[in-house]
Amino acid sequence: MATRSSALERATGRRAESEPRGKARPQLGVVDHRHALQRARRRQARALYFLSGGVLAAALTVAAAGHAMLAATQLRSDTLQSQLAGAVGTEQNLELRKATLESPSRVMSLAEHRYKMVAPSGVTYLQPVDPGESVLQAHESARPAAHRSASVPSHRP
Amino acid sequence: MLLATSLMLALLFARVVDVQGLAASGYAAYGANEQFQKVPLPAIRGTVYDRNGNILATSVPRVDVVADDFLIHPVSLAARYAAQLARVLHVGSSLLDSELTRKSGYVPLALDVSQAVAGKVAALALPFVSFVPTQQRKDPAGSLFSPLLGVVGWNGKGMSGLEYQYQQLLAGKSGSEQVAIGSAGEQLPGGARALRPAVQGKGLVLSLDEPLQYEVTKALGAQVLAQHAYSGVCVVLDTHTGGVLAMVNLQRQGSKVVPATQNLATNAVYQPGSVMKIATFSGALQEHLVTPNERLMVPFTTWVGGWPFQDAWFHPTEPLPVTQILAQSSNVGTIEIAHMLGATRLDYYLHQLGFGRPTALDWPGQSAGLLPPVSAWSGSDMGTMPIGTGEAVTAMQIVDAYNTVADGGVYMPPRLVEGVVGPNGRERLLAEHGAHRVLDPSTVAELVPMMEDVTAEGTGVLAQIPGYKVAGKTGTAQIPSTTHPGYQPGAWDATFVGFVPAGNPQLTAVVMLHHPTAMYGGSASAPVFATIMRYALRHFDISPSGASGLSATTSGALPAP
Repeated sequence: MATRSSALERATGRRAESEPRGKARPQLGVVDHRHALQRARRRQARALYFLSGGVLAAALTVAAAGHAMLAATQLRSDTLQSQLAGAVGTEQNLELRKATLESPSRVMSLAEHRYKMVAPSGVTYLQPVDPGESVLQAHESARPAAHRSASVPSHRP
Repeated sequence: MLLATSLMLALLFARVVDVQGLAASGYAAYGANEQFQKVPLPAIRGTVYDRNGNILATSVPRVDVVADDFLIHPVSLAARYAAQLARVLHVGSSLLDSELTRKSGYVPLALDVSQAVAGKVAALALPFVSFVPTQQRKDPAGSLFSPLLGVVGWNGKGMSGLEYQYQQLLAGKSGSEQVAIGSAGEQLPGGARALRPAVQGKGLVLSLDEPLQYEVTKALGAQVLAQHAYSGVCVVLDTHTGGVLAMVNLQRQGSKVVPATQNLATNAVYQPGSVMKIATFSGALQEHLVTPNERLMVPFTTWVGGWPFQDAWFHPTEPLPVTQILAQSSNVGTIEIAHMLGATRLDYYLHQLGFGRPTALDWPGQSAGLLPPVSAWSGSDMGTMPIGTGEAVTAMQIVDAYNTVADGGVYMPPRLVEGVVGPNGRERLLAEHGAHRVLDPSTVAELVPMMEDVTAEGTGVLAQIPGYKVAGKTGTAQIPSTTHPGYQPGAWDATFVGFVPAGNPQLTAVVMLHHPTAMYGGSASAPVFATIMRYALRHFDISPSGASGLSATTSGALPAP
């Protein structure tokens, strides 16, 4: 114990000797550890407060931007949906128009009225012949039926 | 003071409990009703195609233009708006003006307008105008298929024909979507909820062939006019599938022929006459009671149940081959064969050939015909039933019965719908069922040449087609009177039914004219059969031996979805 105090005195004595005389010594004291800790905590809380605010603001900004994008996409989707519905409608109308143009009654009506097509009064058909049957055989097989039909009255039930 | 404050707080608390708890759902619904609107999503009705993929009926989107006249501020502007709308909708301006000032809240300005016209109205940006999507049913072929397709009512439901029969399949199921709306009723983006998508209607692929239907309509219509017939029916079947290739129902209105108001082929019964002899002959051959060349002594007159039955032409009692009895359509000879067969077996074969019950088409309102049970037959019915004057049948039943012979003795149920087209555009073919054997092939082998003789030298020579063998049968029957017992004098139903090529049948058809001037099936209906079949044979590339391009064209390319 004696050794420590004497060492302290020697040290302060050496410092006092090295400083100029007549100048006031600064007030020095032992720092209160609890005070420092409180200040640090306040700084941290402030930082956390600003950080949270910043994050919240950023999140809100992102959310607002996201919503705006969603709304814009929804509008775009609605537009595309409307265009699609329109295209489907147009396609159906065109299909209907095509079917109407192709209908046999319209084709025949045009042919007869616009292009003056005249149906022949009678049509002579060539008798079809099976590949395995000769033309002579086909002629022979067809002749008796025609011959018989001429002699039989058709006015019977 | 404290008491008053406490009372007020208590009342406030009670109100909060009421709003937030007891009546919360009601207020929430009220709020939602103000904030959200249910938008219907209509299902597009399915398209009907013929076997080649031609559209027979389709729905096209249309728009109803509707105004809420309470939203017109100031009211004095109504006349100006009416003038603007009149230019686009081509409706009288004064009419629209009066409509817009009625204060009804719902003013239909134009119904079923095209989307192009609706777009022009939308471009006017009138805040009181709204658009209701609808659809309109269209038949591109006009009235060609009208008795078959039927009609669709204003509410989008099928009222008759196939549109009615397949309503469930064609209509699909409407959906809805709840969307958030603004104060002016505009839709808010991102506010959609509770989406119930519409289920689109399915398409039908029919066995009908549009070009053949047209040709049949043309040929039958010309004959109805030429014969001054009241109406005419023709059905053409694909022999082996039972698919109906053409089904035409016409009626005469003065000098014009128009489509019948209903499907006469399935719904109208008539006394068929000699075409019913098929049951007697097929039964007797099947039971080995007669052979085609066997001769029977046939007098001019016979008596059954106290009633006289005669042949259509006078002849002495003579031996007639069974083939000749059919070819010349001898009533007396047929009655003799029917007596060999007996009432029970005759009734059995009538039912086996499809008479006395509705056809497999299951057509709305179709008739089963009038075929009394054998227990209820009177004494003379063994005279009337074999020759087709004791029963009433439909043209569809007749063609079914003859198709059984054409198909080698197998009864093939007729069908109009070949398949169903799903929303993805793929066709699902419907399964065939109900086919059953009625006659042995040996019976058919005897019967068909006998029916060939009908057209070669019998009553049906006008049904001949050069190069092809035709098998068939004529039928002529008086029309019963609707006012008194007996028949209408000079009124006849004339039928011809047959199939080609006789050796390997591919097509079976019936032609029936109601009340023609020519009277006989052989003279009034057989020529129409020949005209129609001549076209059909070329159309389907059917050779005289029966080689056919018919199956190759079944359910051709459908349009891409």
